[in-house]
This record gives sequence, C-alpha cells and structure tokens, in this order.
Amino acid sequence: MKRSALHSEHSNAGATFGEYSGWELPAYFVRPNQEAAKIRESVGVADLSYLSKFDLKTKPERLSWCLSATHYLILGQASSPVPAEAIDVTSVYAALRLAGPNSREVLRKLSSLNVSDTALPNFGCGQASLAHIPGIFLREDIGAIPAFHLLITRDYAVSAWKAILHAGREFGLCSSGIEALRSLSN
Amino acid sequence: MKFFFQRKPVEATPGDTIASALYRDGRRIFSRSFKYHRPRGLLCVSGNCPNCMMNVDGVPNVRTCVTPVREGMSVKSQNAFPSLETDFLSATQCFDRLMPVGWYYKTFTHPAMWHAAEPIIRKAAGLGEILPTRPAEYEHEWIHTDAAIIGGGWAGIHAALTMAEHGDAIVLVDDQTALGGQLRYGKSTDAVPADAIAKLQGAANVRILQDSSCFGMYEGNLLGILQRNPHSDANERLVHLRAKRVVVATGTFETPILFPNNDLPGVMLSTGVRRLLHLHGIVPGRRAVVLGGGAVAEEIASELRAAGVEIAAVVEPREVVSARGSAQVKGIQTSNGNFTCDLIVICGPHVPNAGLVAQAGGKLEWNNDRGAFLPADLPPNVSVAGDAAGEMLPNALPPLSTHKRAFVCLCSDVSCKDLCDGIAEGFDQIETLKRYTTATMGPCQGRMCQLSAIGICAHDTGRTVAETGVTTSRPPNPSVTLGALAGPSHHPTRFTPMHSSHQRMGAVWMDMGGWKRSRYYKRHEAATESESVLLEHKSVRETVGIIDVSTLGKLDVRGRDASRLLDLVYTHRFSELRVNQVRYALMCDSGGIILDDGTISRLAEDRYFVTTTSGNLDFVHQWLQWQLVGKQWDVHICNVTAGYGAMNLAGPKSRDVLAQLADCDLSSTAFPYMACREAKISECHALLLRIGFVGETGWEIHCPAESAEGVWQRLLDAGKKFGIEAFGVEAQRLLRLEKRHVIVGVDTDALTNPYEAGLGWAVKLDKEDFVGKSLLAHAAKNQTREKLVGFILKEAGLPKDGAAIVMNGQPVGRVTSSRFSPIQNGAIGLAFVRASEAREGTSIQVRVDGKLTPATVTMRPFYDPEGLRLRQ
Repeated sequence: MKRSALHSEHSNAGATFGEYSGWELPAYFVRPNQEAAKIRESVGVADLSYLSKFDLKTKPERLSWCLSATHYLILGQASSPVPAEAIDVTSVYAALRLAGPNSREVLRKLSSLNVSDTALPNFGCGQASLAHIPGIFLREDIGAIPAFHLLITRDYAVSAWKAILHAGREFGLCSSGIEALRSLSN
Repeated sequence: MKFFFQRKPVEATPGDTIASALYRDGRRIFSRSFKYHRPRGLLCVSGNCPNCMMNVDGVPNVRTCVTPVREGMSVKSQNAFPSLETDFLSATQCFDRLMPVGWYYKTFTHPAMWHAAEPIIRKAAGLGEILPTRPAEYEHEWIHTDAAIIGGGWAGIHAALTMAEHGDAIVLVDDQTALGGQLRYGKSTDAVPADAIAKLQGAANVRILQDSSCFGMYEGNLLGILQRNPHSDANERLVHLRAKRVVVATGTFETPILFPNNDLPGVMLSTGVRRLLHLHGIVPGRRAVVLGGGAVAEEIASELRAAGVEIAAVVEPREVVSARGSAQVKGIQTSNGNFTCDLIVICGPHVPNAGLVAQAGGKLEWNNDRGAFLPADLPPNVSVAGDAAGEMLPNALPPLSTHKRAFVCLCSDVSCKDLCDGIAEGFDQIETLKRYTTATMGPCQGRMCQLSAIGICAHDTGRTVAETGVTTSRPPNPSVTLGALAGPSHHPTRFTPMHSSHQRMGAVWMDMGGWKRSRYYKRHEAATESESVLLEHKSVRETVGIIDVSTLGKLDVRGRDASRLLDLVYTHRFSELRVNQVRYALMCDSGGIILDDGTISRLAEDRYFVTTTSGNLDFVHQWLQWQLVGKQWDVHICNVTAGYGAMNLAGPKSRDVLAQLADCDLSSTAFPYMACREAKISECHALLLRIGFVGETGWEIHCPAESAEGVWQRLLDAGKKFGIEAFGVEAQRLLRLEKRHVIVGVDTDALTNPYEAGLGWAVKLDKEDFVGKSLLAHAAKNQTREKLVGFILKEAGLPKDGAAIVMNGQPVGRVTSSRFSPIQNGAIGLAFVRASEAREGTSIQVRVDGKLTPATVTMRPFYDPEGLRLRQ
C-alpha cells in the first residue's frame, strides 16, 4: 500500500491505520471523537497526503487555488475532470490539515506569513516559509472552524510535522486521524 | 518560597525579585565591578544598571532586580573571588596608575606581551560565565498588527485604549510584570488605572505582551521583541512584530549624579528607592541623605519619612564633596557639613528612553529647557507619547566632576578623570571618546552614563551639549540571547522515502545538502568503513548492488517548446533525442563554464524527465525559468524531486533481479544502454532508465515516492539469492571514479569548461545558438590551460582532495578526487594538470601526507575502458 512520508512518525505515535484511496494513513491516534473534540476546542493536525494534487500553468475551468498568475493548484478529488495538461504532483507534496480555533496561533509560531482573517480569508492561499521549509498555505475552513491545508514537499514532511507538534504544545495540539476530520465535515 | 544564593537557602515572598529578597535578607553588596572589583549594590532597581547582575540557574548577567524569584532557583555571584564580601582583585585599585584610560593600546605594543597578558586579563576582568550545556527552549512568533504600542505606562495604556476603540488591531508591549509603568511604584497604588487595564485585557482586538522588551526597530516598522517565560515549556520567545503604526511610549529612566565614591552600595536612585518601598515593601535604610532640590527631593524625603527612615539632610547636588565608606555608604561629605547615613538617595536627571526613535530614522535633539535629548524628525507612522516625548518634569542638570573615583560608566569602571584624560589625548568627539574609553559600551548600553559622558565631553571641549550630540543607537538594546535569535532547534532535514529501511540495515549517515544519505552500511558491530565500502564495491562489480539515489533533482519539463528550451540551455541536442531515449545532459553558463550535469529522458514528443545533481536542483529550476523570461514559449516546468523515490540497481546480476519484478523485456536488444521505459515493477508504475554511473549493467528506477520503499524492499528480497548488497555514497564514489566519471562541483570548479574536464564530446557546436556557444567554440579551438586527467599512484598512500601535483619541484595542479581501488590495488584519482602533462604515461608527483609520491597519468577509465560491462 502507498505510504506517507510520516508513516514511521505515525507508527511510533501509536496510530491505528486505515486505507484511504490506496494509502495507508492514520484513521485515529486515540479515538476519533476525542480528536474531533480537541480540534473544536483548540487545534489538531492530520496527515491527508492521499489527496490528489495537480499543478497547472493556466487557470483551469474548475475550482482551483491560484498561487500566482502562472501557477494553479488543484487539490483533492472532485466531480469535474482534471485538465489534460495538468501535471500530477500528488506524490510530490505531503498534505497536512491544521484545524481548530488556535490554528492561526500555531502558524504564527512557524511562519512570517500574515494569516489573520483579513489577510488570508477563507479560500485564500500563500507561499511562505513554514519552520524554515518552503510551504504552501491554503485556508479552507471546516464550517466555522478555521482550518488550513499545509503543503510541503515530501522530503521535508517529517521536519515540518515535528515543528508543528512542537509549536502546538502550548495549545494542547493533538495529532488527529482522518476519521476525526471526516466527522467534523459532516 | 525558598531559593538558593551561593548554595545557602534564602526566604522569599511571592512578588519578590531575586534582588529584593536578598536585600530584605540583609545583602548590600550584589556584584564586583568589571575592572577594579569595587563593591556594588542596588542602584536603579529597574534593570538599567549592571550592579545587581548575577548568575541564575546557569545563565550569566541576569539582572536580579527585575527577575521574579522562582522556587528552587540557584543564584551565584559573578566576577568575585573568593566572595562578594572579600574580593582579592579589588587590590587592582592600588595599581590604577598603571591602568589609565586606553591602557591596553599603550602597554601591549609588542604582540608577545598581549598573548601573555590576555588570559590573565580575561580571568581578572569580566562579567559572567556561560554554561554551554544548559538546556533551554526558545520560540519564535510572527505578529502582524495595525498598531504597536511600546510601553505599558500611563501614556501607552491611554494610546492603546484610544486606538482599540477605533477597532484597530493593537499589540501593547510592556517589559514589566504588570501594566502601569511608574504608577505602580508611586506613593499610592490607586494611581494605577485598573479599569483601563481591565478594558484592554478584555478587548478582543488587543494583544498584551507582558515581560517583553522591545530591543530594536528595523526596516518596515519591524519590531524585535523578547518575551521572557511566555509559557511553561519555553524560556524565551522572540517576537517579530510588524505594525502599520508604532507608538513609542517607553518613558524615561533616571540617571546618577557624579561625585567621588558615587558607586558605593547604599547610593540609590530615587526611582530605585520607590520600587523597593512600594513594589516590595522594603525599607531601604535607617538614615538617609537626599541629593536633589525642590519639590522632587521633598517628595521622596517625605515618602521615606513615612516609611520610618530618618532624613539626615536634603543636599543640593552642587554641595556634594564625596560619599564616604568602603564596602557600604557610611556618610557623606558636603560643603555644608558632614552627615552620617547608610543611604544616599539621588534625584537624578530623567532621560527619555527614545533609542527606538533613532533606530526608526528619527533624531534626538537637545532641548535646553527640558534638559534632555528629545525625539524629533519622526518618520511617518512612528509617534512618541508620554514622558519619552519629553512630557516629564524638566531636568536640572547636576554638576560634573573630574575626580578619578567619580564613576561615569559603572559597567566598565570609567571615571570622570578617565573621560577628561581621553579628551586631553585628542578623542574629543563623543563617538571616538566612547570607543576609546569604552564608556556607554557595557551592559547598560549607555542608560546610566550617556548623558554624563556627553556633559563632560561638551564641557571639556568647550562645546554645547547640542553640538556634542548623542552616539548612534543600535539594536539590540536591551541585549538578546543568541539562542532566542536562533529559535527552536529544528533544523529541517530531508529524508528519502527509503529512510527507515536504511536505518534498519545499519546505515551510517552523512549530510548532503540537507539530505540524510547513507555513507555506507555497518553490517555488524566491528565493521569498519573501509571494510564495508570494499564489500559494497565487490558486490556491485561481481554480483549486484542497489543504492538510494532519491536525492537527485528531478524536473518534469513539458510543452510544445520543451525541446527548444532544453536545446537552448544544455550543450547537446535534445530536440533530436528519440522518445524512450536517455542522454547525458551538460549545462554551461554564458562564459562556457560548467554549471551542472545530469540526464534527460524523452518520454513523449513534448515531455522530458530531467535529472540534476542533488544539490543543484533549485538553481537549475530557476535557471530554466530565467531563460524563459520574455519568451512566449509553451513550456511547463515542475519540480518533482520529492515525488519520486529513485534507486540504482547495478551489477552483472542486476537483470536477473529486476526481471523477477518488472513487466517489460530487459534484454539488451529490447532495452539497450541509454534507453528508458515506463514499466510496472510489482504493480507499481515506474520509469526505468538504463544508464550506468557506476559502470555496470544497471537501471536507475524512479517510482512514486509513496510506493518507493516497497519497491526497494522487494528488489532487496528478489536479489537475496544473488548476494545483493545495498551500497552507500562512499562505494558509489569509488565505483564511478574507477570509470572516470566526473562529478560536477567535485572534479570541476567555478572556472572549468567542458574541454578541460574531458566532456567536450557532449558539446554540439553545430547547434543553433545556445547558452555559452560562442565562448565554448573559442575554447574548443584553443589550447586549454589545464586538463582533468586520471592518475595511478605508484606507491602506498592516499592523496587528500586538493593535494598538490608536482613536476620538477613546481606545483602544476591539484587532486580533485582520490580513493583506494581494489582493482588497481592502490590509490587512483582525478587531477587537474597542465595540458603538457595530460598525456598517457606521463610521470608526475603527488603530495601525499607531506611526501612527494610518484604517479602515472592515464587518459582512460581505470576499469572497463571500452564500456563493455555497461552494455551487456
């Protein structure tokens, strides 16, 4: 099965794995509803590396993230097809999901990017350093809960994950599995 | 609460600082001065002077007068031997004639003298000692805000409230433990605006940074702030605060008056007395003399009387002759009589704390009426409020002194006489006087001494204070721990998809461009590096080996003009490369100098897979994009380095191993050397390149990173019966050296062109114009100054990289790579020599461990020169 760059980290943290689109990723670390509660109350981070990602030079006909006038990113499965000229970069990036009312506070300890509500509104994105690692920040809230996708190239994933956990200690950040996130989206 | 001073327990109450607890316990000597080891006691009690500095829990130079006590703290004195009470080195005062201002420059005129004296001076003079092993946690935070207000006194609180009511996002920075500024130690605690503070604390758009010092203002309204103990898991936090508007409301600090023995324990600033009285409830003495005039002096005298202190006299500063006492103030001699006392209270001038204004680009101008340097010429978006702007009471400037025991700079023991002597020696500008005498250059960074130093300089040079000016204010002020600037010790490391597999196999790691790579594998406890490398080498040459090359840079280049771009940037022709073929790719700059190399595989008419050397990917990516600027070419370049795990399976048995897992025909007819195919390896889509960096039959296999470790493991399993070994970077270096394969950046440098490196075959001068063409054409026709050749050492030894090549006693070149080769049973290598030596069989000498060792030049690969093994 396909494995995320964080597989050993998750394993050492006692994760229970599940299969998501052919990838072996944490379903939960402790219990899904406990992790979901922590996210609602403070902040949590999950590994969503299975999400498909496509890189484009021109704006596609469908929903995408605009990183610059000549750089677009499609994230995740959707009903509409991916343009033929898109380059599949699913393997290139690890995708982390940081969610919770304290997610901005955690990001402020890791990046100089202005992540305030006005500077980075919902569905806004930016590129900046994340703990000295080049990162792509995509804001996509889960309902009323502020949340971000953090894309870093796979080779840096372990360092980024550790930095996020370290910065999040102050807020009781929990490692979250995919089940918890899914329950929040419903 | 209890803490330890010099290992003995001391009682403290909550709210105490270390100094207040020690003072209450009866301590009066807190440190010994830098040069003369004079006893020093509490003076400012505000964190502005150096007198209370001690070592706390392994941290030196902690200002104990503003550091809250914590249970179990271990506090030690500094720079005092054997104790604060008795310091042998205070005897240096007897030799002060031998150590006048600038004495280093006058005495140590011979280099040997300084080298002899330096260790002694370093031990005798100084501040604290660092404990390198002390664990500490540092954090960083970045805050963007509409307005930053520096200073949480009355002016700062007022400004914050006003701006917050407008709806702006506000950050209020205050260096004390609670808001209120000097109102907290005024006569009555009612002065602290509790309602206003509560409002600020409750406002959603206000962030208060307490225990935070703003140490500098940088370009673009970027403020550097150091927050102490932000939460239980961190010692210090460095905050980068960027604000649209900055309000400097930092108030003033009180400075001392100059008179002989003004540095004795028991001489205290009125602010310090007030802090002891009203913040800590400590009666600072029994019988006091107040130095000052008018209402200011009367007020502090009445506060002391109310606390039960006897006021012996209120004396005008101009009447002071000298303070008396040796370890402690015993009395004061004035022109109106002598008084006994154990406390001298100075009502000194208040200096606006406006360094941030100067750093922001504003000016500090002397205002005679107020007796202070006040902010002026403020840049837009920076304003000053409160006492820092000059709203405090005007200062009556105290008289100056010329005495050798009237101290100006307490940090460096610089006396008034020292300053006068310095001026007399010709250092009559404030900036040069500062540097010559070191006044204002100590831990207090001029807070206590700048005004006095300027006053003396002005007086002795016959200038006005305004003409003399101030010295340049530079951040950080106050000082910042280097650890805090560095931040959390997370050094980003890049891992390949097969990392845990290498770990399990005993990989010995090396760092390469941020990546962790396996140097070699330690298969058992006693295995040495050379044994392991030779074992790995043998398996590649005789059976099969596999190496993780995921660190190679990889670019996906596609589009109608992809061929055009590659033809432009690389020296070979890529528009003519057939689909499913690989070609060596050499890149030069416009001077014809080698920039990088790699391979290019054509996957389709308009799609290429480009590899680069591991460390150069970012550069090559940028270089390609740079070449596209201004051209309307249809090319899409994507950095896919991390998306593929890559491995090189090589050796005579590599086909047997791969055939078990790959779904394509691997025979030399179906899959010749320098061909590429997309195939499935155990259900995983992979790109196979038949190339041979190490000189054996082999494939470079690229598969999606999420599946790479699985493929790696399955190849290892399939290869077991053939004796497969994983090999590391060291073995790879040796294998490629035997094939005389060049590594760009190791065997080439910033001046090497392809003809010098033996790579002229990769340059197609009959192409249309490409980067470097004209100079490459020139280089092709002209004799090169040096050439890269191979050499075989004739005797035992192993040259280091960079070792000299010598002919007839003259250095004529240098070694670029060298290794012991089991095939030659001796050292082989590559070296640059002059063109005249670049002939098969030439005898040269190589400097090995200082000895000139004979070697023979060879122009051919050391192993399989015809390249037959590769093509099998």
